[in-house]
Amino acid sequence: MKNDQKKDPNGLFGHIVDSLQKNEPRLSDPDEIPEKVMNSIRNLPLGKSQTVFPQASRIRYLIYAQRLLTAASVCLLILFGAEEFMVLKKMNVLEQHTASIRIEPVNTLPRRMLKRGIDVATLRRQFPGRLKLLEAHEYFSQNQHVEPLKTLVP
Amino acid sequence: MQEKLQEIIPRIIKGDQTAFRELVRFYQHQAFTLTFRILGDEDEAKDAVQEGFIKIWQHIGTYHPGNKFSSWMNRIMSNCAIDRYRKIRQMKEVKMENYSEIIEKIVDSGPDLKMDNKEIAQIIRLMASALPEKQRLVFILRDIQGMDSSEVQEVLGLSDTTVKSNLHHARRSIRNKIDRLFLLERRQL
Repeated sequence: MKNDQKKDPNGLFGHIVDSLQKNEPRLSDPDEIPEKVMNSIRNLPLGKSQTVFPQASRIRYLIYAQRLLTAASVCLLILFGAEEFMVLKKMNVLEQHTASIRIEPVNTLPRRMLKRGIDVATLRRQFPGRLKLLEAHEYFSQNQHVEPLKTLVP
Repeated sequence: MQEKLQEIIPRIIKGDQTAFRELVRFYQHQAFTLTFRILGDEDEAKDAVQEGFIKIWQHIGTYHPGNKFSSWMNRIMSNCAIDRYRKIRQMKEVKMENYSEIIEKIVDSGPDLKMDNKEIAQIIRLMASALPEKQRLVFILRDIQGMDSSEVQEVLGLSDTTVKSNLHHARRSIRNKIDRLFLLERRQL
């Protein structure tokens, strides 16, 4: 408060707050409250129980515990939600990746190479670049009975 | 009084009503100031003080002589006033012209302005009536009553951060409201 009043020493807000601090309410009859209190406690037993405040503090702890548990469950929900989202995203990416692999004759080329005993180095020399693989495939398709080693290797 | 308290409290615990009357007479003004500022109503404040002292009588056994009696009492009185405030909730409406008169009086007068209970209550209602409960209580206890931040935290059961943020919002709202009213007043003149 003091800081705010320093910032705004002539402001109306500070002026009003100062006035309220300086002007304390006055009791018109100083005997009124003691009389009423004494009349009220006359028939009341003097309590020495410690029930009110411990109960209040217990309730306060319960409220704190409740808030803590709520916060923890929200955190767990967020964590699981995020995890699920991430896993699903990864699975989707994998599925898309798998789906994007075309089932084309080109992909059966390695099997054919193995069947015919052509090593990769030879093939790479003969057909440099990926596009050339298509040519290789066509070549193998057209020359089923040709001995590959003899035809391919110069 | 603190020395006298050490003598009075054991007597009250034994059931001495004369000692308790002495205690009430001494602390009633402090208790009334606090409850009046929270409630902004003289009659309600008196009832809250009465209720608070009855609670003190009933639970004097829980008071630890090592602690400051006024702090313990303030806590009880604040809680009584807060409970009462929650019950009455709708504070008495104060008309616009009343605000204008008070603002004018404050602006025109110097720092030694004297106000009666009615005017104090009107200003408290003017400043704090539209605020949410937490902001209102934090502002009254901290700024008007002049309690420490730790005392406010203890009385209201709030954290330091909550007290600070509520106080900030309350001051901003009240400042804006007062500025608006002041501008309105100037325009009318």
